[in-house]
Amino acid sequence: MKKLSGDKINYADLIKWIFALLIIVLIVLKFTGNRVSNADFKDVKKAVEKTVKDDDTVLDGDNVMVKRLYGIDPADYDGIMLKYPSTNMNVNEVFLVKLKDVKQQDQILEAVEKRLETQKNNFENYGTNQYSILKKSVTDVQGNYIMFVVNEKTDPIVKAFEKSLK
Amino acid sequence: MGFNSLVFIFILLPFALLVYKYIPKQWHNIFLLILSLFFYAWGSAPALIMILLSVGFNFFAARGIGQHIESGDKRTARIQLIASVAFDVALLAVYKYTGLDMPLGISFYSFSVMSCLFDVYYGKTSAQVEFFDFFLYVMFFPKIISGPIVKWEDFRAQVHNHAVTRDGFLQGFELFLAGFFKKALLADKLGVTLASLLARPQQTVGLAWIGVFVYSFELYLDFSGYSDMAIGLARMFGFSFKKNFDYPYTSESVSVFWRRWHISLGAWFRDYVYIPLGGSRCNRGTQIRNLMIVWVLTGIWHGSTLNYLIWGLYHGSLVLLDKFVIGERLQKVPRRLRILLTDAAVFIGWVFFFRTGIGDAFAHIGRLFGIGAAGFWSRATTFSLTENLILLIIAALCCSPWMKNMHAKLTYKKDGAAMYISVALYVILFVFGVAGILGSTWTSFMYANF
Repeated sequence: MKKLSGDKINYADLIKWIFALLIIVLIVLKFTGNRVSNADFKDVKKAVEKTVKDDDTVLDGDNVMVKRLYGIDPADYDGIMLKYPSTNMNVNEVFLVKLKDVKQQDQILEAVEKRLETQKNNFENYGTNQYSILKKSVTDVQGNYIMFVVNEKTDPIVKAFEKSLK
Repeated sequence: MGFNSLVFIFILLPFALLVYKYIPKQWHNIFLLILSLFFYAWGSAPALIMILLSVGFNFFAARGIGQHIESGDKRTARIQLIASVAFDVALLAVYKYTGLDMPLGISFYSFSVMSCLFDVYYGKTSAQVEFFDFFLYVMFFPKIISGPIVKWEDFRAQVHNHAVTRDGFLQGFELFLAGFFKKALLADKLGVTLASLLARPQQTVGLAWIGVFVYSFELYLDFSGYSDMAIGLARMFGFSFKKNFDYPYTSESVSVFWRRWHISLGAWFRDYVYIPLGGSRCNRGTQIRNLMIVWVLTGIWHGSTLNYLIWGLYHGSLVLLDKFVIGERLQKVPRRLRILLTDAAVFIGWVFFFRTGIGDAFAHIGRLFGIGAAGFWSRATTFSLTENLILLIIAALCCSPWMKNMHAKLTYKKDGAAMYISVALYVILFVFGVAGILGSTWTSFMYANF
């Protein structure tokens, strides 16, 4: 490193601020991506439930159903809501989880992936309509919240979910 | 991967020690850096990018400050120091207070890198900072996750001058095992006990006190256990770090307690905040201001909630009380009573750590004195006490030098048989420790969350 004094540029100072800029960019990206939300689970659940309240193709799932369909223990998480298909011919579903720690993201994403795979296998050969709905499913990861939605119109549900986290 | 995980103990550590023993000495530091990067990435690969950028920022900051100092431009060096430290503090604050997922060990490595900037500015070390040395200093795996916060000048003095000796290795191994025992067998068990105590519906005065004792022992054994393991590991690789705990629960005053608890953090605040602010060489009003600044900072360093700020102010007030009001008078009180009073004050303070909300914390403190408690004692309290009595006694003994002194007295006699007893004891501790982590879910170290 060249030693400089007086009014000459000090390259170490300059490079330092380039690193600072990269750190700021990384932080901004983190803020827009994976931010942990302090929103109360009850409020988020309420906001999401509102969007599916008239949907008679889904039923409320209890802890046993969560274990059965997703293979996870609800006690390991801060909050879980499941709306599962009311009949074998429906695929509409909403699965909302508040994580205790963002490190749990992988477990939930794996469980969701398995669930989606199972449903796709169930409908691949005879339920064209259901299969196309499954293909439109959305898994929305927002830091400590994850929502999995299978619906013809996922947009309003996702918007309500994301809005409730702010 | 923590030091208390089976993968670390049975695979990574033996592999690293073997490789370290057989590779040429000139490769030692490169190997330690690769090992440290691997260790960190295993724990949190995405956070590695942030720490690498932080290394880049602070390395060039240190170089720049060093160059300004060398060219006699102290004013620019000062401006660059303030700007760089402000950036590091802001980065730490963004992570701590905005809910972003914190990079592993950021509270500790941020203080390490700032120590380098200060040491270069104050001329405690050469103005020329070598990139590799600095990189290893930040990343060094025994200390990166939860300290100790080794100062740059102390690390730099050893980075090209460390050797593994037989005695050093054995001392390090012994320390590592002792720390492992404290964490895996005692702290983790106390953690389970505390969870069940806090969940009891009828909180009596007795139960509230038992909870305070359990947490106080757990916190000490967890963090000092971690520090022992970290310092022991560093020793096994030829580095010598100062102790981070010195039996703080046997202190005769709160001021002494803080010279024996998390020594490296206390030393950091003393050297880089308290002394530059004027320390004790100023009038009483300024001294009080300086101490309170240090204690507010110590509080908020631990966490973002109001609990930690109040805890910092509480300890700041106790230190001021000790220094300016009752310190001399307390000297007349018998030593054992002084220790008891100090422990009572410190233990009550820990309530702000284990009760998450400020209301919960004050409610628990109230119950300690009968306010809002479901009576003084109950059958459930007796059950809780008797069920955990042995654990509490062992924990209390391990918080004092008694255990160490007894071990030294029994085993370090000149005849060979005593040495074999000592080795057997450590093997037993290790086996029980492994059994402890096999029989329970892996738990991280408590200070890794701060």
